[in-house]
Amino acid sequence: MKSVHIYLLGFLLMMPGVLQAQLFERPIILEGVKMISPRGEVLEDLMITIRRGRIAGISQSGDAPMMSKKIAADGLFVTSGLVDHASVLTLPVGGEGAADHWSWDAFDRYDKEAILSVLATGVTRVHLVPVRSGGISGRSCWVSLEPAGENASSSGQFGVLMEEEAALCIDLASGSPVARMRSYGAILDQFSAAKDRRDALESYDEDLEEYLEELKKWIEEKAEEGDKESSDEGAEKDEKKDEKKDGEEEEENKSPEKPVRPGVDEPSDILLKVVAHQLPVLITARKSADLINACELIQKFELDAIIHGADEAALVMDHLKDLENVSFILDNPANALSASGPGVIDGQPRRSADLISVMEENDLDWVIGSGGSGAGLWRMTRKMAGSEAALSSAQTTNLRGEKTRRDWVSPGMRHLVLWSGNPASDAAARPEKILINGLVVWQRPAGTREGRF
Amino acid sequence: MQISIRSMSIANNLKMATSQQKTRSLSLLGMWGVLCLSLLGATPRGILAADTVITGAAVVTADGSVNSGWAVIVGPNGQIKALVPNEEVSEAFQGSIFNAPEGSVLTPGLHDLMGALGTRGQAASLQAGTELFDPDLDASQAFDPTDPWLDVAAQQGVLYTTLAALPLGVVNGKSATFLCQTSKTPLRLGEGKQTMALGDSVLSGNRMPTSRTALISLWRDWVASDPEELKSAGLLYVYEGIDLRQALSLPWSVVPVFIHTGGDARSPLDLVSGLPGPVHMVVGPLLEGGDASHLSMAVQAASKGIELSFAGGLPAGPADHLRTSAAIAVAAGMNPEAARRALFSNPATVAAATGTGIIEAGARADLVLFSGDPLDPASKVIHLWRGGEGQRVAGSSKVGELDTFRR
Repeated sequence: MKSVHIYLLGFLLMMPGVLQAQLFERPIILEGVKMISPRGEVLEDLMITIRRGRIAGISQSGDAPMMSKKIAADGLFVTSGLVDHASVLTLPVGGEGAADHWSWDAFDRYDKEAILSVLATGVTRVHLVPVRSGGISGRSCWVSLEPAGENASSSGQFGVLMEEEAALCIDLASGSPVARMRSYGAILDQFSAAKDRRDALESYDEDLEEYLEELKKWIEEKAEEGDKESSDEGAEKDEKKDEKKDGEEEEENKSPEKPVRPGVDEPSDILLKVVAHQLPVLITARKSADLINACELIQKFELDAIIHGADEAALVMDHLKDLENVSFILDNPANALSASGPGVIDGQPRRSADLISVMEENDLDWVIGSGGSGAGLWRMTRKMAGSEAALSSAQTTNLRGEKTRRDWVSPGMRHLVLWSGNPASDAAARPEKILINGLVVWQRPAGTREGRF
Repeated sequence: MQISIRSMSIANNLKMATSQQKTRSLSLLGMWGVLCLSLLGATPRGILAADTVITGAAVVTADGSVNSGWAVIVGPNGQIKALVPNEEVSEAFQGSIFNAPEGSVLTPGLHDLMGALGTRGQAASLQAGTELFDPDLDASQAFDPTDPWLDVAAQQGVLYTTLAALPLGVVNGKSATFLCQTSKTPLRLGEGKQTMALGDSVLSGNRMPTSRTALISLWRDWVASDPEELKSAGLLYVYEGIDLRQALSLPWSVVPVFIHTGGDARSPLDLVSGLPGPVHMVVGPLLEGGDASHLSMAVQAASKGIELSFAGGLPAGPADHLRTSAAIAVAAGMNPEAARRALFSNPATVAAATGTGIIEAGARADLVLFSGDPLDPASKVIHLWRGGEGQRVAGSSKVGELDTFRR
């Protein structure tokens, strides 16, 4: 036993990082905070202990551990970080897209002002969705908006990749009706071409074997013909007579054609991953015709799909209900009052006032995404889901049957928001501090500093 | 049938809507006592059978606070007759009683300032600038009462629209405020205010002034001539911070309302807040993902005691953009009461639309019933009244859950 201790001590001395983490990493304490219990009650005067960036304990009474570091949080309301399921934070919008484009490549992790403005609204995780001018836009990813880089607290970088490839994004909603039809046709062609390529790849080995056999036969035949020619020199006189026949036989004497291996085609490979259910598609479709196109695409290629927008879902619910394994990301674009209504023939989508109720009545999974930077997510969620369901909606992931509840604070959580009031009931409540991995990544400036020139 | 109203019981029954407001209850108590005594008179008055009583909702008052426990009596002339404690409204009353649902909030109408609502979307239909000083121009010439967007906007709680000519001259004529109601005849509210401009929009290559220096010189000469237009508070367009700073260097006898809709005037705010009397400024509209410096300026201006109003932008803007402006401002640090004043009472002052923007005796009964605090994006318009004429807005399937109306 003694030897085990010696080895352990030796190990710790050789690994100073582990020793430091174990012995010297100070727990972080949030004292006097309030939170909502799983039963919906407001619990007051709680102490939350954070170790190694995660909540290690929540207690209503107790002494703070020795050497702990306290973060002023008295009277503040704690929730988990909000989740934006469709964000374009720092991404360029518009232009040509392609399947091999990736939103993480375009994410500007040094745009501190934009990222902090989103953190200031309580959003700590974003699903970065590339938005192009119709068609295949690229692949999305999930990002945690925490400081990044080797020295995270001072690097000036934000954003840690949480999920590298979340979905292949397809936009069926942009442009004029004709442009949308064309881009839908192009998408069908691209998927069909990818499937043909897959078939070609699958049959390549078989074709190669056939080719080798044919080649072997051909060589043998040629060898036999060579023997005959050398023994029948007297037959030269007949050559002229046989000239015409030689021309016909040239085809037969030609060596077999070697099959061509399909070349490297990354966009096509990504589409094949989608067809093979290794990557879902996120299809933006708002009007009924676009939603029907989305349904057709999903069914034709048997895709795992998330539909973004779905403003006119109520009009085509029969089509949507036929889909299997599909979820929805809803939003509420700030359309002009004059874009639809009296006298407007082809305006904005005819959105149902109670879209969420329609989704729930038909047992369809839905979440809310801002569709913008994420700064307006909380207001959009309150507007769409109502004050009672807003908080759980803004914190919960509920896509394609995978439901992750974060609507109450529990041990293990890394993303915390400290609000000035109860966000579930107080419309004027606003984030005061944001903690990720035990680090205060944003806090509201004191006094009038916020408006200082 | 009359119900006696005892003024003393009004003060006794005053309740604050939120815990925050409780801290100010004493001052409000006094204010309400004085208000009610002045409104109702020392002698008992009553509710007539022809009146409509709206009860059960909290009421947004002129100071921007939300006060529960009050009923609003609307007279047959389309004006608010009085505010009385809910307890004073007897079940025996045979007139119209509108029982608002729990948690609902009754407000004055929202006000779309400096937009194009009522012009069928033709924002440029009234252009100034042909004459540099054109005080006789009247923005009402651009108003079309048959514009269908007026009724659409009203469904969102926007009951007033104020039009002004594009600020292309130094003096651009009077603004005009109308009730948002699609009809054959317009209902103008107030005479409007003289609109002026100090900024790049006045400059032109075809006429004087062609430079900012010339513009400032023109302004100085005009102010020195003590014109009639400057003897009452007008509306002054100062789009950029430098415009506001230069405007403040002029010797104003009456401080105008500063229309600063989009720029960053944080640096001269101290000068503005130092002006005598309540200074009004029109800001915004504040948009999701919009200019952070303008938002910051608005928050700071409110904290310095400048009375703000949110500019409109209908019908080009989203239907609920006024409330969105307020919600964004509150999230950025603006006091909720200041934000509510910026939605309701201040725009009426800015537009000189007398008898609007406030729930008090004698004011027009242009009211909106929201399902909750109008600052909360989750709140929806349930019912509205224009000149006391009620209209249900909430979907019919929800009406049973939302309210009851007894005749």
